[in-house]
Amino acid sequence: MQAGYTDFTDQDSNIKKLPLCLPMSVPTFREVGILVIRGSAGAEKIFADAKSKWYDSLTMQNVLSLEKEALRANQEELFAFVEQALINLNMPASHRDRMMLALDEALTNVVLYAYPEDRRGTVGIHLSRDDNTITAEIVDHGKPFDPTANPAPDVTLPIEQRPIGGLGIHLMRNMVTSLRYYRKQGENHLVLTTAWEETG
Amino acid sequence: MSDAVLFIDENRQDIILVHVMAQRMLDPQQADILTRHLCGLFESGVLCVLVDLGSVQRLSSIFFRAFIMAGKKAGEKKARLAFCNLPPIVREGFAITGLTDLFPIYKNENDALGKLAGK
Repeated sequence: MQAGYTDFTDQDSNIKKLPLCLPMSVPTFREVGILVIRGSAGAEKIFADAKSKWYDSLTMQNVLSLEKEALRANQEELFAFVEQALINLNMPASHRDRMMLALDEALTNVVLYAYPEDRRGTVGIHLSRDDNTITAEIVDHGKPFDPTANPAPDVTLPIEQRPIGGLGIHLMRNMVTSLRYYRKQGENHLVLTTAWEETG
Repeated sequence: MSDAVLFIDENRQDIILVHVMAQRMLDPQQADILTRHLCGLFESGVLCVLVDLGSVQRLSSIFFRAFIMAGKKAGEKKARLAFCNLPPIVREGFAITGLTDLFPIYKNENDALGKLAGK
């Protein structure tokens, strides 16, 4: 294992210990770990894809964690990677689009609001599939924020009375089957779940 | 932010048709650019703007916010803002955020131009 990495034995409880410095050989995600895909047949392939793209030294026990600046700067590439992970997990396209929209809203919130401007911080993403359910868990150790407690905006107001903001959480909530938040050991955990019925 | 073209304007029967070219509209800077563009059209005296979202695969809430801001500007100027060619995921977003009640939504460009020109 290269210098700068932490060997995680318990990935769930060690996200906050993620390394903040990575080898210079990483081409774009200078402050990145690796996505964890749990419990799926596609996990090996997703991991191999990511490894070939970014690292030579990853192990399956690493966790994706981005510095917020890296996330902001590489949003498009990160999203392409996450989407590919969902494709490899055989998530149907229509559900995948909705999950990706929800993830965009959730990650944007972390990037913009979780950490003070002058503080470094990481964002972790875990994906897992269990039967026809995909769960995405976003972890940060920024200030406590429970999006599920946000009241829904009044989307029936006429244009003159419409507030400009407040739609992101509403959109996120409606794009997934369930949205759950908990705070644990100084970390925000936002769990987005999408379930679907098998057709054909 | 991507360097790709974000939108192309076309003048059709005094209606400005704005073809949004970006497939993934997630970037706040892109949203700002589009907001300024749409509001600028209304500021310059354009009375009807039709936004074609046919190329868009994904649209985040910052763009719904952009459309609300442009809609407010249209209201101030007694102008109209309408949309056409919404892909299913975008249409769903419009419905969730209540934008389907704020703006005329048309199936396609021809349908929109015919109806808007007749008003």
